[in-house]
Amino acid sequence: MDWVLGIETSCDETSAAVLQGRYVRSSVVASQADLHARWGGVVPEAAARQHVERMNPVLQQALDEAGIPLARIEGIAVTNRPGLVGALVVGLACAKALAFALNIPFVGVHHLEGHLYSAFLTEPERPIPFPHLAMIVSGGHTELVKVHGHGDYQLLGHTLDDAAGEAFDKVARLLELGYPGGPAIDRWAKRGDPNAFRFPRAWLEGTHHFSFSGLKTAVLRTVEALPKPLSEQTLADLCASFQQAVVEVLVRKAVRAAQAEGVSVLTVVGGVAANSALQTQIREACHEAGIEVLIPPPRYCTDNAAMIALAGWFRLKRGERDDYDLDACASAPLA
Amino acid sequence: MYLLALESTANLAGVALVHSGKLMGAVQIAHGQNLSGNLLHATEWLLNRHGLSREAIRAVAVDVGPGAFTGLKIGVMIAKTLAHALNLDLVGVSAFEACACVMPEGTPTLVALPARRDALYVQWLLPKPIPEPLSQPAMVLQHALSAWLEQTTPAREGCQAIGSPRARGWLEPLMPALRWRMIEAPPPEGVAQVGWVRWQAGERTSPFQMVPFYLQPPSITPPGTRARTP
Ligand SMILES: Nc1ncnc2c1ncn2[C@@H]1O[C@H](COP(=O)(O)OP(=O)(O)OP(=O)(O)O)[C@@H](O)[C@H]1O
Ligand SMILES: [Mg+2]
Repeated sequence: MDWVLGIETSCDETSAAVLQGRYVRSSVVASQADLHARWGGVVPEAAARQHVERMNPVLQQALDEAGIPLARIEGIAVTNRPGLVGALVVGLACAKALAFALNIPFVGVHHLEGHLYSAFLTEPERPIPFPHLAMIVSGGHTELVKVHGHGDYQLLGHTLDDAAGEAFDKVARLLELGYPGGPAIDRWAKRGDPNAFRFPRAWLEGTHHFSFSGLKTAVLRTVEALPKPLSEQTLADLCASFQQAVVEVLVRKAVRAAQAEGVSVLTVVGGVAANSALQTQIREACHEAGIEVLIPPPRYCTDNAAMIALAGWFRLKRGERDDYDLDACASAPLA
Repeated sequence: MYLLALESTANLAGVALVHSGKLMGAVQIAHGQNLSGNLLHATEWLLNRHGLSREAIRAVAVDVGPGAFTGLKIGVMIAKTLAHALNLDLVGVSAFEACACVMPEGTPTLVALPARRDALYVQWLLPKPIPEPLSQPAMVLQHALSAWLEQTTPAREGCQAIGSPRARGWLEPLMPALRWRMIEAPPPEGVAQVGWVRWQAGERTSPFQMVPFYLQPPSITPPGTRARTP
């Protein structure tokens, strides 16, 4: 199994990628962020319609950039869970039709398993280190996962309410910074004082769990009490202080979990891993704790088909196959 | 010269195969959950029954709607991808055309298919190898059907209709003279026949361009935001 095609349509990015073994030969992501920005969030039916329009051109572009014809593809990896069902079924239909037409195998991949592998896309020569700890911080998830081996995952902790990315998006909406909120808050925070406002941190001591809804409410209360319109400096201070509250919790809990589990490698994956403050602070903390930290470049933090292709490549190589009966699921646990 | 026809806009999905203008076979399946899988299973079954490999197919026709949003997307996605991967000619057929084409020729025909819970997809056509539109396709709310009929009905007498039981239940009291044919879903053989004639006439759609004919915008509840940038 040499050439593998990855397909990802679980939310609002239409994406296809070509891998040769572990080497990414192309990774195309058509983001719909601009489309959904006008509604302030992802509209599921609009997302699914966009996938139908863009899937084939995106697929062809991925092949062109990899420099191979479709006929060379030997296997297909497609996200089939979890996500927006109407969006997932589009990529899944495409993958099944390709498997049928080319008479090649395909596997369904858990979206979060893709995120787990995203940390290893840029170092194809390096064996995946096991066990390692992964912190998934994305739009829908905040999880600490101990990765014992390929396909062997142990969920250590998760968020009890909002995901980290969701908190970024909700606070950004509250501050009218547009969608998606994470990158906007990251930008504003750079000019703000992270100690200007004292927002609560939910430590949930003795567990590896997270909670961000209290923080979100605290930001709301603070904003309500401030005179309007907010000055640019106040806005920047709010962003920096909110971001610092999220980052502190993520950093400390991830390092503690790594120490408690005795692992020497930590990966930070998912859209929020692109956050500049999180990157700086987690690198520092890991350096002090003697833990190696791996963070994918921004293009592999947010949704992309390359990570799905890599996760699928390992499955296909192990001989795993799915059949036409594979269905899409809105929610599904990773472990 | 085989053409494969796919129909997936309602609860019964269908696949049909045409060879030199002759319908070789058609299957309909109650698909429940796994629509894409069932379309491919049915296609495989039909090909096997005729001892054909997938390379025998030269063109694919698909019902592009209107109909169930998800079914529409899956059918169009499969048709486009088969065309893309196997280098097939791709032809779109509307759900109205697929229905009208299986009715007796020369008689004005009302096609009425279920839309949202309170509405129908409707169009008047004249059945022919490629049915001729006698009105615009529309989604019409139940309470507006009588006004719509008022404006569009081509003749008071001698018309026929094809559609779902719900459509008949709503329309029969408004227009008792219609002769009805009841269907649960657009017939795959209709997609195949219109698709074949289109294909023979040289019509093709690029798999990079084909989009479903939704006839309704996506439903949106806007949170409403203005963006501020630093
Ligand atoms: N620089 C950043 N700082 C903070 N958050 C960010 C940044 N860039 C992106 N994000 C956040 O990342 C999230 C998107 O990440 P991703 O694409 O991995 O999520 P998703 O796929 O929607 O969710 P999931 O993977 O859980 O299903 C959004 O919530 C976005 O606000
Ligand atoms: Mg994601």
